[in-house]
Amino acid sequence: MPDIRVVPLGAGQDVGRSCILVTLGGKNIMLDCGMHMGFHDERRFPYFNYITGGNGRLTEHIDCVIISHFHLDHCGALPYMSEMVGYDGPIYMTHPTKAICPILLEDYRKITVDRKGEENFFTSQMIKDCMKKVVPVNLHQTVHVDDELQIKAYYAGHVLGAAMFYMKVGTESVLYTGDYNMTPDRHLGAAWVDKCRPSLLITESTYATTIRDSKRCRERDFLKKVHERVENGGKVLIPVFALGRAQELCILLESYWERMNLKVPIYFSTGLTNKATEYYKLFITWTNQKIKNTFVERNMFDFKHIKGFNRSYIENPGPMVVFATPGMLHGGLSLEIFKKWCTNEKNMIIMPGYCVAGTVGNKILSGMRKIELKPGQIVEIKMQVQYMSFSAHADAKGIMQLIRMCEPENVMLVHGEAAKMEFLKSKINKELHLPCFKPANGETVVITTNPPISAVASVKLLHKHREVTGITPNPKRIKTIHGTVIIKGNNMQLVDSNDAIHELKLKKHELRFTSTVHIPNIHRPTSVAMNQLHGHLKKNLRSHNISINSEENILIDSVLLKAQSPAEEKTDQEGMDVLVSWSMQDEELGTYIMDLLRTGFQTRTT
Amino acid sequence: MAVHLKKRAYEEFGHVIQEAPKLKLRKLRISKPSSSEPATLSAVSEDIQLDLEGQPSHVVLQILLKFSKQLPVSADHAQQICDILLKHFHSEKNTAVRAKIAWLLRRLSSTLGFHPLQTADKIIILMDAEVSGKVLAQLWSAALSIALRLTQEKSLHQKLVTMACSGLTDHHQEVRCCCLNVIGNLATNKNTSKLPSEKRWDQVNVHTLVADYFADPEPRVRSASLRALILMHQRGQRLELNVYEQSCAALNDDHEVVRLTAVELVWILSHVYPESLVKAPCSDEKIRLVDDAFAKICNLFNDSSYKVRAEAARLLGSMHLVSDSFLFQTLDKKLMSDLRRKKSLNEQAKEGFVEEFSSGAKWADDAVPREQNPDTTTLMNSGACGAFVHGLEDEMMEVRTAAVDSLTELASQRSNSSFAQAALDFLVDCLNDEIEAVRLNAVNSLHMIVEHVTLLEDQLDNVHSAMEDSSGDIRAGIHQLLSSCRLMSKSCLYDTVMMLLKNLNKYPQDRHSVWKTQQRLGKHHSELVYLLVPQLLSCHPFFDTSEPEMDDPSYISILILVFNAAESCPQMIQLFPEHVLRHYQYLRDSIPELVPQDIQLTTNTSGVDFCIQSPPHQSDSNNDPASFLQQTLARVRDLKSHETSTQRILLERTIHDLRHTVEIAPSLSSTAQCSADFLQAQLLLLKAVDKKSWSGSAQICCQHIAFAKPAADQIIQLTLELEHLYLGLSDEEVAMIRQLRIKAQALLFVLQLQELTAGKQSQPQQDNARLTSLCKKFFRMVEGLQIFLNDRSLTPDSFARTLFNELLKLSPQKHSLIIKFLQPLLSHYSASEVDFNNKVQRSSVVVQQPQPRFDAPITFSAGLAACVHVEATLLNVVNPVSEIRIRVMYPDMSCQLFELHSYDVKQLSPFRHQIKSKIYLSHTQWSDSCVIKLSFVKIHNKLVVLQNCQKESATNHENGQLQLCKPVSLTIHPKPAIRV
Repeated sequence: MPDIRVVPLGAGQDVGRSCILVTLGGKNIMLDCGMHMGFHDERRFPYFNYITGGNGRLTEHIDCVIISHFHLDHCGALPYMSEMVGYDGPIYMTHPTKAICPILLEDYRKITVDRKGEENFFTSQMIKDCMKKVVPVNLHQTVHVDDELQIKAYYAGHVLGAAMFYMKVGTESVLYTGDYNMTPDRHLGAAWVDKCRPSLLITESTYATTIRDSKRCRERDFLKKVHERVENGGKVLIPVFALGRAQELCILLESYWERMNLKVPIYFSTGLTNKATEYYKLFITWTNQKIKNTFVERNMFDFKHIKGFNRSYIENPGPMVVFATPGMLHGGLSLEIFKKWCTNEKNMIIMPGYCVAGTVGNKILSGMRKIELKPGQIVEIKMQVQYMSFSAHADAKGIMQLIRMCEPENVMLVHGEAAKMEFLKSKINKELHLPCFKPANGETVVITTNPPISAVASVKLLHKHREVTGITPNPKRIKTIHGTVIIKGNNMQLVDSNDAIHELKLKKHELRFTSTVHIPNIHRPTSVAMNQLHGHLKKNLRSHNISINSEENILIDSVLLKAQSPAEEKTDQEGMDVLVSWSMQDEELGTYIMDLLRTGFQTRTT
Repeated sequence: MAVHLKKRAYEEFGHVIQEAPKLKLRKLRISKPSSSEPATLSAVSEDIQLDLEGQPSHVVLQILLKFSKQLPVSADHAQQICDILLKHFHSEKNTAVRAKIAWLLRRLSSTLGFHPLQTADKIIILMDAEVSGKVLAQLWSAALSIALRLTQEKSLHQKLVTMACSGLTDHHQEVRCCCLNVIGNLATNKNTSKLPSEKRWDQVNVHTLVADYFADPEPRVRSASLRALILMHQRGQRLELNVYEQSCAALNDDHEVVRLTAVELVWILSHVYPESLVKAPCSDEKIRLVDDAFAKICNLFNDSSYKVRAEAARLLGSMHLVSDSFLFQTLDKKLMSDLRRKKSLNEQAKEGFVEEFSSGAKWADDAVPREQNPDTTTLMNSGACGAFVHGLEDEMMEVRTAAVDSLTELASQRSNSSFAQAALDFLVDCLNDEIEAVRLNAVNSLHMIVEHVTLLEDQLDNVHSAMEDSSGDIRAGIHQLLSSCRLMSKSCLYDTVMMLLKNLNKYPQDRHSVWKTQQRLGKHHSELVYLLVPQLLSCHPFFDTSEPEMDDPSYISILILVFNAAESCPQMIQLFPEHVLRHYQYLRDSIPELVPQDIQLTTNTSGVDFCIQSPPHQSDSNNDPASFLQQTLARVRDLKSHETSTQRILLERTIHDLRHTVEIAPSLSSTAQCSADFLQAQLLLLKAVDKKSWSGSAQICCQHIAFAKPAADQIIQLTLELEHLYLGLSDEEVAMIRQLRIKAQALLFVLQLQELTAGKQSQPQQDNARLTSLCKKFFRMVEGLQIFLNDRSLTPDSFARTLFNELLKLSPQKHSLIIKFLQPLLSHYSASEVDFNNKVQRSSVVVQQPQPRFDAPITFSAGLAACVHVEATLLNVVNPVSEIRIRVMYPDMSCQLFELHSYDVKQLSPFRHQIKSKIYLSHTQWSDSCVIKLSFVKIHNKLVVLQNCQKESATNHENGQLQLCKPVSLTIHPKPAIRV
């Protein structure tokens, strides 16, 4: 049996460092190539030695790499993999991802190398070289990677350019969702997929145990909290990733500021954000209905109230709202601002998304009030800490909805926490009756598929079948064809059994079923009884050719009914035994006649 | 008898009018070259006849294509051509040609006046022999269109249905679609069919048969079969219950169009069999069909096609019979305990129910819950939970709008308000939608359900923030909403009032709407206002605060609130500071519609009770103004019996009284003013035709002319106003008014003739020509009146009758004769009584914007345009766009009329329109600020009005305009042009 093998190198029962290897019809595909925010040693990248065995390049092991979107936990290890480990094959991603991805990688490199002074890290040149290997794809465009493997991208919401990828080799297919969002937000639409019925669906499960309240509720809460703080003269820090949620929140605050006529400054850490927002302005087709419809008059990403941030503003008095990167407070400007502001109880920090274990963000959200920011320096946090789930991941309901939309045969959960996955897995088993997997990193899952087997049917057989069942098959019925399957090499043929016998030079054997039915309430002479029986059958089986021959046997197509000469001692007994004999081809009719004789005749005569 | 004859004449006339379009139709046909002459047509058909024989198929096809462009043909030829085509059909081998022939047959059979029954029979014969699917499909649609034309041919219908039932098994999908279409259009419940080839031993009902095709391999056939059942339902055939399950299965179809049709069918079935019990999914429980269908349609909110989602959202709204538990489930994404059933029926487990999923609102709230009882089964697909939550935050605004509508409908028709209360939160959240149309829809929907429920504080916050919306429609909607809702607490009211004031500050143009809201708020929440009086009026227990300015709109708005509350809660009057009492008197008179009229204001600031008198006309309220009006009008009832001088005095008094009535009784003002104007016109005429002054000495005559001419003008003006500015005048009344006008015009005419004949010596030729043209003009007017009266079969009064009978016989050249004829006729005039019924309503305009302001001129650069926003309420106007114009009069007396656009006008109620428009002013010559006058005018057909020769100034009736309101004076100040 053919099978699909899946090994997560990252994101198996874990969030971050997404990297999943799929073997599909003999093709090896790497899905995403991310880094882990929580680690600063070699653990931040996927363990590529698993593939290469420590020597050689990846090119000979992997047919293609697919990147779902530009978040670093999905593409952060890309230059490392392609340039340092060595991979020369194609890398597929959507156009916006290709545009924005290098900006983020460069930013990440700067923080790691220039600020933290790490060595043995990829260089700017490597990023450029890596991007040269990228093949951009459009939504719903089928790309033939080679003769057998084809891939297709679907819209995934989540962030600009995020896509789900559908891979197909022969009859087997895998749908990889990357990160996706089933509820539309202020700037992006919802994920959409057709009924592609993949053999395996690999879905993220970040929010496996959550069903979120309505989106508007969250937005209202967020705006209310920010407004309240700002009115009280406090500062609001919102750590975000440069792209994605940041733009959504910006649009939200921008329109609120405009509506409420607020004058408090909103800042956005400049640099890559400016560049990135430019791309948002460009890729309007990837945004939602409202922005698409109004951009001719006004591009929503042209912010009026939101200005660039300067490091010197940190000490400015008075209220302000600052969006700063990165989103999990694991370094950079957001951590810097956090250090300055965290001691004032007037201030507030809003964490709008998920925080990986090990980051400062995760710590403060878990309720820690004293944090060691630098070795030996413990800071007490007095500022308000708020969590707002603006994370654009599908919740449990969304995941189930996607599964219903694409109708897969198997489901695999990645990119989530093990315990939560277990819960969702049980739900999927129970409600959707689908097998579900949740491999850990490095654990191989083998999924056997039942590919449909196609056979060439002979025209003669089909004609014959049509004659037998009539030209007018009830479309609801399952149609059965009696025939013989001949397998020659890789070809399968369905032919009429006589032809098969002829071709294989075999001798024909006929298989007949014979049974005796006792009809109790007939005790007339056999001939009269048979005529009565004949009439009765004729009434019930109109579409069949029923005849009675000279030996008082009834023939219904190939079914034979013969009156059994009663045993001597039973002559005075009521009733008569009838022998019914039918060939295997007429099994259905034979059984029906048997039933008819057992039940129908009695009621008829009495 | 004469009236009778006239009526008949009129009817005949009407008949001719009906004929007119038919004639036109014929003309249109003539313009078509093919069917214009029968000769060419027969030639064409002969061509076909000749050419079709023995021609190769492609040539035949070309001929047929050419012919199809010449359709339609006349009925005779249709028969002929049909025969040719049918004949050729048999011999034709090419399927494309046969298909084309079948198509032509369909078109021909729809020819007017052609009875296609025979053709139908022939087509049926053709169908038996036909093998090609395409041709067969065309033949079927031809047969169907014939059958639909011949509604009475039941036997044909029966035959076709039977054939279609067996034709369903065709291999070509188009044929199956067509057969299903035939069944849908023609079959009745009685139709049963049994297929000989089918191995089904039961009698097959048509519904069951059609339902079998819900699972056809071809999606178009699937949707056609669903559509067929919908068609049958629409034709009044009762659908079978057993198709329900199959149609539910079609909801999961791969193809959008099938799902779209299936959802409609499921919805129909839920209305036909709401109470039938069906098996719940994945359990043995039975639930009501309407509930099951509701849940299934809810599930379609997860559909991948937005069209299906929108349709589902639309249909949900009318499923009123659904049970509460299912309804409430639409508002919660998590499955609620009501819809879980334990297989063991262990009710205790239900109470120990723990929420499985976290809401994600708190960090680390999503820890894995403990294992649930695995035996629980659900009565509803969990995907269907929270359908409306999904629908309201859908990506596409079409779905959101439909969801808002449905949710509102479901909430407002429930007998108890609990669902409305639950839905409120979600609708309020929609006020934050990014698309304005959805927000507006939400506002209006809220308005519909808010009568059932109470707004909570946080919901109110949202409503308030929507008041800052830049769209005026939304703000107006919110004002409406606030004025009809119930508020929870004192702080709610206070916040609302403050937000309204803020709104007033931000958008001063909302003044009227805000005041109205304050009025309603005060009326509904007098108890709450009582608690807030010191705060609202900023009274201080010890110190006198400074008196607020009386012109401040926000202060006025507070006062409106307080006074309206005080009407039903008099104890709060004790709390009013003294200046409020004074202001009350002012407001009571300046904005009587917003302030209650009879609050007994007492105060004890000066130690003594100091009571402010109500206005006098309130005190004698036992005198009904209606009866007063009746009495007044009764005085002039038998006017003719009095002498002329008495008549005059009587008229003068009556007019005075009527004018007074206009002021005191708003409800009667239209009638009173109408009567007064009419009497005034009569009085003027009486004075003008006074025999004594007319035939007196030269000096008196001169004086008389000086009086009579403007009087005649005034009468004409008054009668024009009477005719055009009042709604509800009967034809008789209009005739009366017009006959009065003709008298005034006759008077004017006579005076002018006299003048011209007197000064004839100077230029006899010229004057003669002028005289003749004047006469002709007057004749035309008389004729116009005659036609008007004849059309409505009204009897003219004596004056008009004499005019019709005598004057029109005279030649226009004989001026002196005309004068001699008219003058005595006029001088015999006596006033007639008046009795306008109380239905009469005067058209009027209340201008809200712009307000006359002299201190803040509108500035604009010379050469460029300045925009002025105009807002007004029109009362009693039928068609504002065509009848109403905005007129601007510039200081140089030049006028400009601005048309209204249809989007400027919003109908508030019948005969009440809101106008919001912009006009653009521009002028190049000014250098100084000056005043322009803006007013609303009603235009009427420019009548042939005798012009006053001397005074050709801008009297309004000449240009067919009637002023509807007092002009608003605006100062505009041009900035000097910048010269570079």
